[in-house]
Amino acid sequence: MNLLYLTIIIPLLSFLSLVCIGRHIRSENIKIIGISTMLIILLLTLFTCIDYGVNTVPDMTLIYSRLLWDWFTVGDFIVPVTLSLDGLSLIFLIMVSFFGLLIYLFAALYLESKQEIYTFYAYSNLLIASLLIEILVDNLLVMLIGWEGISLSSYLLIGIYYNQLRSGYAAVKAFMVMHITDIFLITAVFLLYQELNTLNIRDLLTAAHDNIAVDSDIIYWITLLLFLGVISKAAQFPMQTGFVETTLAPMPVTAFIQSSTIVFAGAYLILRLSNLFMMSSDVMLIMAILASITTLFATTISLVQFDIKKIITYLNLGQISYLYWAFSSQNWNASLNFLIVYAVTTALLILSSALLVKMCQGERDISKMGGLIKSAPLLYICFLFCAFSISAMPWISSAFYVKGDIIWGLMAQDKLIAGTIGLIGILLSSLSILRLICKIFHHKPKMANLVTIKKITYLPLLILLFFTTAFFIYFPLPTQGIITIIDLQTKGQLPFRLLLAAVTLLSFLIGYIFYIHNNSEIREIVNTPIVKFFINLSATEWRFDYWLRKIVVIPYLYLANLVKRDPLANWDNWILWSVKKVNSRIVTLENGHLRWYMVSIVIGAIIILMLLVFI
Amino acid sequence: MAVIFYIATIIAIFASIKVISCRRVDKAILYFVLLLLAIAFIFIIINAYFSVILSIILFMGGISILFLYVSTFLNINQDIVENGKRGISPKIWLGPLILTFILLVILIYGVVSTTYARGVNPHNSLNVMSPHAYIIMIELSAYLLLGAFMIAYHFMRRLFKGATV
Amino acid sequence: MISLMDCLVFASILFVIGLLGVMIRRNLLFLLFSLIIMNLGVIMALVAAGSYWQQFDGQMIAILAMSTTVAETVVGLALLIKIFYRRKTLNIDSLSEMKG
Repeated sequence: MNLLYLTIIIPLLSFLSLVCIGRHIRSENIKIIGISTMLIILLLTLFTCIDYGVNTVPDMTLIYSRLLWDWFTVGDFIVPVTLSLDGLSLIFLIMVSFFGLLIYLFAALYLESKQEIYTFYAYSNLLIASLLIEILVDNLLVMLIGWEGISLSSYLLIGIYYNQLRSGYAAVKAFMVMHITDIFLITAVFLLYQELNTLNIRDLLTAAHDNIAVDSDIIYWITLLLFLGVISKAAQFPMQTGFVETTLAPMPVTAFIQSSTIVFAGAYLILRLSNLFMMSSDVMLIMAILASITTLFATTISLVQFDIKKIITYLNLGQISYLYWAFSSQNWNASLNFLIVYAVTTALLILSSALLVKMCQGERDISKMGGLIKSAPLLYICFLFCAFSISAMPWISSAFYVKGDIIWGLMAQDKLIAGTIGLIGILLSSLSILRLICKIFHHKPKMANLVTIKKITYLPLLILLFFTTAFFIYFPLPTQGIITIIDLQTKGQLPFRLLLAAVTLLSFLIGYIFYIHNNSEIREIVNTPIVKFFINLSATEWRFDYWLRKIVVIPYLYLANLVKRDPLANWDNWILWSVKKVNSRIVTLENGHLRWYMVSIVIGAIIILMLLVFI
Repeated sequence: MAVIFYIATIIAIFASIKVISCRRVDKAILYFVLLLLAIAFIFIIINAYFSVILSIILFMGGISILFLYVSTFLNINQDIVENGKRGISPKIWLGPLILTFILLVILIYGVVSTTYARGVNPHNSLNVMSPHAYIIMIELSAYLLLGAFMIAYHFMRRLFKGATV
Repeated sequence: MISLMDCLVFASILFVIGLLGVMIRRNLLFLLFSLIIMNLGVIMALVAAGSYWQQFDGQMIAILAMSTTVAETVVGLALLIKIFYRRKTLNIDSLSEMKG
């Protein structure tokens, strides 16, 4: 456990070395550096795990903390950089290192051009380092460093193809959105300090528990601001841009950002401060509302898109909402479980679609694919398991239990609308993944010249595939005492699970009718104006960019134009203006004619004499 | 005495107006000499004999002769710059006239409105030339004149050199 | 005895007439005449003040003023001759190309 700081130092060193000399070494060596970095982290994590397991005493929360140095000291205000490890950070540490290693391996097999490889490994190392800083540090102010590091590195990762204009813009957009929300986070941190006089998370939670009333104004504002700060990393509805823009990055980056890192960052902060969030039911409500909107938004969009990357991105976006539903129903344990399921599923989905795209020589339009089931049976199985996980296939996938728990938690807390939307979300998202599978693997083959893919590339996928199944459900997580475990009502859970299973089966049925058994009645329904309208709306991503431009960008530009000339600093411009005017008049007197000079001298003499005589 | 002073004053003013407004050079020089004579007369009336001598020597003997010499040397009798039919046009002189009139009014107002205190102890050497007291002043003016003549000499020398070569 | 006020009024009239001449004439020769008239006005004032207070200082300054006038006239005439040779005219406005 004493080697814990190495988990941050090593990716940072790796990042620095790759950034400095990455251009000059061969891509194989870059891959070796990247993967060995991740392996070392995984090994360290394993050692930490073993240590943790050995030292754990039942019914006690083990917290390991180690002071590294004091960052700065202002009077009584000391900001120490302390690494601390408890069950929650351990879980996140394991997940980060595990998914990081898998994706690094996949990237090593997938990426081809040298520039991609070296930028991917360099910036991913930075991302890992900042994520680990956020996870392992126990002070909010130090945590902000990791937080900003995540923003920065995701900007760099999204902009890997920076010489394409769209990619550059997407990166800038993601960065802007993340930073705008960071303002809220920083405000929340300041508010917390003002209220509780500490930034150490553990002290802060106990102090908040002792000093702040439940549902008081201040806790409302603090948690609201915290949530608004997390919202861009959490990719909830108005701030999902950073998540969506990852479609312009290469596939491993997409997998990395969407499945593990950014979502982890947001979820970790909320879980870490879960005791604060529990004190404010209003924010929980806001969370549930936003999560509902996000699910509807994302799943409807993914239902009609044709770009496979977009479909997957919106599917994942829809999945994240379950995490926030779990938060809003204070079902922290289920949320942690779901986070694992989510990460596994999205990673599997993105990686398999990456392989698919590579197989089809970079073709991303699913309407041009079809009938791939014979040529890529392994990929089909991967997609099928993704579909099981996303649609919560009863008793086969772990998602069934976790999602069932989450929605059941919502229902049990009388958040019926959110629960219903959760069920609809399962229905729609499973429909869209079924649509994806049908379009790609069934029907007539349309693609010729498929690229064969080395068998070893499937290795990370198969590992992930193994984890989506129900073998790993209710894994004993060492989160005792850190997050509150709420006992779910078990009465009525079985009928609810049956309902969930029915929903899943219904979605399969609808999917079969719609996409495989293609008959004329369906086409008639699709051709009605209202359905067409919805399809259009979803195809344009709910006109989100349009409204964003209308509501935010244009007024902002207008304001910026208004203050561009800096009206407050220019109020005395008239002085300059009049001086210039007078000057231009006087200059014409300086025309080299003696009499004009004499006239001006005489006028001056008259004025001076008048002053002398009359005053 | 006073009557003579006023007559001389009127003559001087008339002569100076003629000097600045007439268009023939020889006429202007004659009026100028008349002006100088009138001023010398005024000097005599106010008992400034030293200044009379100086002004007669310097102005009449120096400057008028110089003007005369230059005008004959350059052969300019007529003012060829202002060649309007009836002298200088009002467009030119009206503005300056108003300005100078204002100036004059202010000056006269200032002169008239001042009360003049009599000097307490008149200097002993009123009419006695005492170069010892004012030697620096005399030297200064002498150097000034010397410098002026040197400058004039240099100008003319270069000019004539350029003309001959 | 002539009062100082009359002398000063006369001096200022002379000065102002000289000023007017400077402003309305463009011929360099007449400009010089006007300048001398201005200077005469000043000299008149100095001499009158000196004789009024029975001091020699006034006449002394007048001497300085006179020699200044003479020097000025001498240099001015030299310049006049030079300008006449260069430009074949005595118009002072022909020298106005150096503005400012």
